[in-house]
Amino acid sequence: MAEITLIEAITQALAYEMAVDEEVILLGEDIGVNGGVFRATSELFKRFGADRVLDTPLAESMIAGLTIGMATQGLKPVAEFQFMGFSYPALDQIINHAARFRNRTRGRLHCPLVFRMPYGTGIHAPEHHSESTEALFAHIPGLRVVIPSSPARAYGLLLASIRNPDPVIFLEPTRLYRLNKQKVPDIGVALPLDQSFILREGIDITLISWGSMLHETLLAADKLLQEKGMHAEVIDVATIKPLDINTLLSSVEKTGRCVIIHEAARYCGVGAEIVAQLSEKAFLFLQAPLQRVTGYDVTVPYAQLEKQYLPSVTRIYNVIEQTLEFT
Amino acid sequence: MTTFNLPDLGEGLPDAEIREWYVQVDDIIKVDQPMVAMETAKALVDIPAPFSGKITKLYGKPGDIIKTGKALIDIEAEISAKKNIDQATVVGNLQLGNRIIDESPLGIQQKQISTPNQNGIKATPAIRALAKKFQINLNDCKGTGPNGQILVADIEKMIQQKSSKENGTTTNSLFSLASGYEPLRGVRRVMASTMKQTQLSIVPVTLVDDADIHAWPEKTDITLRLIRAVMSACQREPRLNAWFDESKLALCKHNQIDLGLAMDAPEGLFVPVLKNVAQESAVNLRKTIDKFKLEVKNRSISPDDLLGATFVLSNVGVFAGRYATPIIIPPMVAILAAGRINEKVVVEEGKISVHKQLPLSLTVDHRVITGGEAARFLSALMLDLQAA
Repeated sequence: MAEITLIEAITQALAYEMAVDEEVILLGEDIGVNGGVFRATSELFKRFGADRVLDTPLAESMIAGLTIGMATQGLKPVAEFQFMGFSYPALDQIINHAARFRNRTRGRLHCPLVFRMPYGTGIHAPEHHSESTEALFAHIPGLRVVIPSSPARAYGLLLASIRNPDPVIFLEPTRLYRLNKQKVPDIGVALPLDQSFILREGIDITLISWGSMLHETLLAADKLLQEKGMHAEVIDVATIKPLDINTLLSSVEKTGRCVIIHEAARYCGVGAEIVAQLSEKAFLFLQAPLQRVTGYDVTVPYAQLEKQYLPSVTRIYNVIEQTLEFT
Repeated sequence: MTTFNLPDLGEGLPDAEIREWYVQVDDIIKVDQPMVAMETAKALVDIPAPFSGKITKLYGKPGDIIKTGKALIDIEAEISAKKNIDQATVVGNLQLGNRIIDESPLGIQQKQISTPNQNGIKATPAIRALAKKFQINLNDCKGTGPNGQILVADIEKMIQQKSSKENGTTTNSLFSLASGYEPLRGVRRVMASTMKQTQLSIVPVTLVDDADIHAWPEKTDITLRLIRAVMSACQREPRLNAWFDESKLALCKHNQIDLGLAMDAPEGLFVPVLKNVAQESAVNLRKTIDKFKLEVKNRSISPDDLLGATFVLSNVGVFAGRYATPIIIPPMVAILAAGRINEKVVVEEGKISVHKQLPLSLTVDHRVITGGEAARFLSALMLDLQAA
């Protein structure tokens, strides 16, 4: 079994589910003949045909509406927005309809759909192509927000998202698309959609992150081990909404210290929600203030300043040190 | 295979001379490794390898002139396929990595939900701060709160153990530990907290004046005269013989006067209460006062006798001090202090004479007693005292 990249794992998951479930339909801009902006749907048009892989006009609101219509009528559509920044025209459809169809119809209709969106900065892209606004979606009742951080989790979580009976916002960190490889058995095994994953075990501090920031977070954990011989517990939140607070809680109860790392702007980011829940539930165990290392409260800058915007290993490490030194 | 051309070595120089080759054909070179020293009109410049690979051809020997932009060296790149990889995006630039992730898709399995108090120490930030202040290691501390939560009492216990270990003594409280300090006990402790509470709520106004007691016969019992005068003044202004409930903003006027007498003792201040003074004969009052004095001295006074005063009289002048600002004890609303008797030159029917004066200080709670009421009370008091 060859090692594959995260984007190849996405393609693999889509192909697997389309093969076993003919109700799975893909739609999006240039995803058919062209294979998508990041080639996520490469070859799928050839393999499954124009009835299953739909090239749409450049109209995100329409894509979302079409997806919701398909979903309520028994299909399992997976729509691609080229970039997260282009999903905003579709927010009306997503918030006002996808998220609340089950509630509005008292369970008669529901939306088993997935909105896939490449997201995040760090690939020298122009404006609108570097958004990390997962908190916007996480705030909306009725939406599930999932973010993979490895090829295997991309595969397992995307399968689970397609099979989930309600709408899932599936955010793919573009910076990780081709950064690492992993063996991913193509046997259709989904991962749980309500669980965070412990990537490193440690007793000295808990580092909580998701998406591409796990790359820097793991490097910071390595540095901590090398320089101080201390062990950080690193957790991939993976499903931002609903939050698997129990996994985070057990870890923080053990370590008493915690840093949350995300690339999204700080204000009202998902990190704020995690800090709030931990301070309510782990109050008696905290040995230091809960800290966040995040992007700044600015529009994500262009390529030249991307590196300054994204939390670096040094920035993360400095806050880890402060948190460990707090007595 | 890639041919690397001589770059412009600065300011548009047309050519450069090969000075020395550091590498030869078939050498494996790393990116940035110096390949050749080139001499220009201005300087000697080392040219680094543009990428890693194997050298297949050198264009020229030392001494040869190479024109800018013409071939200098051929290198077989290590990864020649690099340029052909589909970047798989029309926007931006995806970083390609070589790292192979070796982990379970599920990460590390959590080892069972651990019971909280086995893992971490359960304590509020305030407790942690307290422990830090007294250099208590929370690991050594046994929590007696819910689910092993560490409480203030647990920290206090640790501090006691620690101090008894260090200097063989035990201390009672967290807040009286500095050397040289001794905790207040008993009556003094009560006084400290009562007085503080008093200062926080009551709005005191003190009025002072002298009562001319020239008319008094020899050996008049000052305390009994003062009690009589208080009774008379309370009749004039009954609001001063009252209790004030500040939480309900309500005043309770008393029909009888239960007079507290402030008495000094080594242990602190005692205020035994003469119940319903109007009903008692002067003789009985004096008897009771003497009994209280003895009991206070012996510390045998019954707690019942210390409760329920509606007005307090403090005879401070026994020792020294003419005027005072006596402090009201809630829920009462007034207190009277009598100072040391002194002599004063007065003009009486056009003649100078010397009269004894009893200085009086009356404090009232201005939340419920007006200045006028206080003044009328004091005036009635003096009128009674000035009589023979």
